[in-house]
Amino acid sequence: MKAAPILGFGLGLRTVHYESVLAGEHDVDWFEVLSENYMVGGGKPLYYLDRIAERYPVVMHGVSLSIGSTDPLNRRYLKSLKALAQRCRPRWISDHLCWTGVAHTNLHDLMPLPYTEEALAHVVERVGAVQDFLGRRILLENVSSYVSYSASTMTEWEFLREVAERADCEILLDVNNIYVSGFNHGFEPTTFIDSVPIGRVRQIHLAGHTRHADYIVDTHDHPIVDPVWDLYEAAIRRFGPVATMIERDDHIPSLEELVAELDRARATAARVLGHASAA
Amino acid sequence: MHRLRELQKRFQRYLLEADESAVEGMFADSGGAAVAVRRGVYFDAYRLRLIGALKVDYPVLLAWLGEETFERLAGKYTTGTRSPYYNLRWYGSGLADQLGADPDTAVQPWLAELAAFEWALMAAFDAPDSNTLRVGELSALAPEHWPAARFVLHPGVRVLDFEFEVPKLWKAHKAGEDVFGRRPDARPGRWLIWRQGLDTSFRSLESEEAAALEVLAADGTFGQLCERLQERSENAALRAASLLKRWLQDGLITDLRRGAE
Repeated sequence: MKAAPILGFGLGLRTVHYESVLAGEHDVDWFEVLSENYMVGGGKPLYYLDRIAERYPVVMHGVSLSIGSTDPLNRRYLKSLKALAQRCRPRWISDHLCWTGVAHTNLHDLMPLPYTEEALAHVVERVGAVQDFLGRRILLENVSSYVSYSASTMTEWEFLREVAERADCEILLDVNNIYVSGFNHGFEPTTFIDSVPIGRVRQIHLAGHTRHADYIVDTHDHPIVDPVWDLYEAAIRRFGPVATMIERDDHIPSLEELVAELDRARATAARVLGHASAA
Repeated sequence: MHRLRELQKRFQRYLLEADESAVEGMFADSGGAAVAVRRGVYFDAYRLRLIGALKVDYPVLLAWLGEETFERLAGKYTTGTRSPYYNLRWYGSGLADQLGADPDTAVQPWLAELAAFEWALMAAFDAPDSNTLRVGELSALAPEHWPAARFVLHPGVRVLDFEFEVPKLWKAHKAGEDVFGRRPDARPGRWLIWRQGLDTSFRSLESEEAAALEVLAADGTFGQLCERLQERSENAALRAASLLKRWLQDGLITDLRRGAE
């Protein structure tokens, strides 16, 4: 695959930061927008999206594609997603390698898939249909999970790799999710990273989580912890310069504070890649 | 995909109906936390996420009821209401109806009204964008075309009838006052909710203006608007023109359709 130009270091766009983003110059190369937040009629959400997309590159990140569901693909959703893409011209569109409900019910959660040949074939077929409809490749993100299925016959990283290769899609590698799932299921996170095909990873997510006594929940409400920074370093070493962003969904600090956290990602990548202009 | 579908239906049944037998044998023991704890993360997250969305949608209702009561009532809603929506934004659409129908809350009818008011504000907030008609554009309409002309309301416009003055509760909350348990005045009225530019607004409607807006909402003509006002006003055409001017200034009207079109 031909390497795409590297986008640099971004942040997830959140409503509390709209005015700050537009008010000044920030050391943020791009913003990731949550697709569903802008799949509305109009008003402030689309007003701010239009203005921010004029000034920064944006990428779209969704939560309701439900690529692994056994319900038919939601055509209305896909049409709305495509219309939004036509409006804000994202560099790419991503969603999660999961299912979010069946029987026309949305659980509004990222449910893990069993890692079976049956699920693999199902997802591959649907990724193909979605990519055909959107006229572009999509990125799929590995999710945090808390259960593992008795039915699984392969590891999560084998499943992710097979989906990406067979469906010819790209990967949004969430390094925090690898850490969380590694802790919850007792696997070595670097084993996961070392199995992800180089060249398929178009974006990296970094985030914080909540640690309980014997499990971790992916809450996006804390700063990134050191072991996740170490994994990020390992990821950059393997994949090279990849567009990286920080997700924060709760206890959202000021834009400046997030930019400072992003600077650490910038510095980490620069150090690993051995030059200051890592991205 | 038969086995995958079966797995998804069973897992979902556990989440929605708390049916633990549905997921028996589904999960592997991967050490650490017990399987019941692990599946419980999804069970709790499902409810917390939906209740959290309702808190965002209904901040004044939350302040009125307090956290504990709100969560109890929101919990009832989540138990009885699945989301068919791809956007969590629309999940709370039925809360006002439920509060009105539930004997637990029907005794405080302003709760359903407050919910309906907050939902209408949200509907106005992200209603489709539309150009608004300017007063000056009316001069292009020849006098003979006025009776058959129709005026199109902005998609964010809502008119709601309340028995209680719930919009005043909302205002008090926004002004930083504590509205916890504060009973609103019983003063029946009709309220207009809309968006002007990017900002949502509301105001009470006198019965004459309310009747006039009804004509527009029913796709009536300017002539019909005058007829309706004749019941109340001696110079109906002048009154209609004056109301129209105010609606235009408020950004309520998006378009003008001539009778012949």
